[in-house]
Amino acid sequence: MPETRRPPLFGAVVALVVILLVFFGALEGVRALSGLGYEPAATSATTGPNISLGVFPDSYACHGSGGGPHPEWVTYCPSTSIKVPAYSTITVTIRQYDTSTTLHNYYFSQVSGTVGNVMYVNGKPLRRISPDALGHTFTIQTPPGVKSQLFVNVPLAGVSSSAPNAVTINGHQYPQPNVIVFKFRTGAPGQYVWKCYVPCGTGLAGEGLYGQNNFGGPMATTGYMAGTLTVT
Amino acid sequence: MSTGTSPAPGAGTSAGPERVSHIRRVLILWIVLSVIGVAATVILFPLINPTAASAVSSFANTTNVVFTALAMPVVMFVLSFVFYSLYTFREKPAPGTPAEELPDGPNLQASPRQQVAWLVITAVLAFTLVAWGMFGFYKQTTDNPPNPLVVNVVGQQWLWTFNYPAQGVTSSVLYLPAGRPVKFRVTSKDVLHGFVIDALGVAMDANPGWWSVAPIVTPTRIGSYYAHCVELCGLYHTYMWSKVKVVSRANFAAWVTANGGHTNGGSTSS
Repeated sequence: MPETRRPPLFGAVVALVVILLVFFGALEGVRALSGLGYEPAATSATTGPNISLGVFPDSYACHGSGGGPHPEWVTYCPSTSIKVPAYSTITVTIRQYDTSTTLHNYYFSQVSGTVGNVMYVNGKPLRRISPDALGHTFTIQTPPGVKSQLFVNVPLAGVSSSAPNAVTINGHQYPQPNVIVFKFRTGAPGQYVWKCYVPCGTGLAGEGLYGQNNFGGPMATTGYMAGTLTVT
Repeated sequence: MSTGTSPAPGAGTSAGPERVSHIRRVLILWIVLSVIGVAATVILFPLINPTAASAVSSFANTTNVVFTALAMPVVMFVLSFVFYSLYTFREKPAPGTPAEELPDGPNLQASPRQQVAWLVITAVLAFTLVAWGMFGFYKQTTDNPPNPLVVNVVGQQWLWTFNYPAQGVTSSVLYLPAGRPVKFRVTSKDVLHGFVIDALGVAMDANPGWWSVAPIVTPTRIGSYYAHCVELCGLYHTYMWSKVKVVSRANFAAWVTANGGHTNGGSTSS
């Protein structure tokens, strides 16, 4: 039986279909990957000109009674999604329940970008704290393409490792926190990101790599030590 | 029996003048496309190249234009012959013609003269590009002007910080005085990062536990630019960028002073 050839148009149609499938598949893939993954909804405490946050040495305070998938991870609570008004002065109160870790980069031990470049720790004004006395930082940075530049860095003093547990939250006990209050000003609407720059996470690039690791785990996961700040 | 539009070159007894006609048409097509391609390169590339704020960056932009313009005739040469041949010598057999009855094209054998010409032309072109890159960038990368401003660049997930050791200032925004050579020393606190300032032509790996030193560059144009990470380094890699501000020497000195630094530890003007 002689072999018959398909019409030449058949190959062109097949090629076009494959190209379109790859193109739209890639578009959908990019769309699915957009964003930072898990981003919890903002709460009333993290919305408006007055923001209230807590930093905990574990995830039991706000990731469900079982502490979520990573109960041992440090975390900001109640949410890492913050929404604040534009062209406003924002007051942030952070209750810091965790102990200290030494910074890798001492730049983050000083206050930057707040009103007066100052923070109030338990009512006392400070512009910097010792690099080995930080529990965490709250650092806002501006993604590329956002018109209004915003950079805020606030070192959060750690509590003493010998401090007694004095507070019960969600059935778990924590020491009396350090209360850090600061203000910063917002400009035009935009979407910013914030994270902690104290190495309070888990090893990422290999344990003991020049001793410079612990930026993995909660430090690389939104909903824990990283989040978004939306200025609307 | 083939019923194609025209016989393949070299096939049949009347291919001589027809073959010359095909070659003439392809050459005309090649020349026209090459002129269009080179003109488009020269006109459009300056519109999409990053702003050049240093001699290194300016030379890199020029290299982009020159290399692309030189590549255009080569690309158009290949495309012209391929697509002209695909169209002109396509076969249109009668419906139902068995595959084994379709004629093959003629065996093609280039002459030694054609092969030598192709090799010589492409070799000359390739060596021209090599010489351009070697000699052009040699001066840029071996220049060692005196008293450069030293900036220690520290990358970590996911922010760059800039330390000026002579001035005693650390900042998250990179300020540079125009007209003064700058030496960037780059490192990382955690994973691999890549430090790039397109406008200045600076690109250097940030490796943990190691200080990499970039070739000295001199900012020549006052303005705002940005530095960014080019080595995938985790969740916020795309957000790992910093403002770069090239300012006058007076403004740089004022910025150093306003940030608690000192201008007498290292001259801010040469």
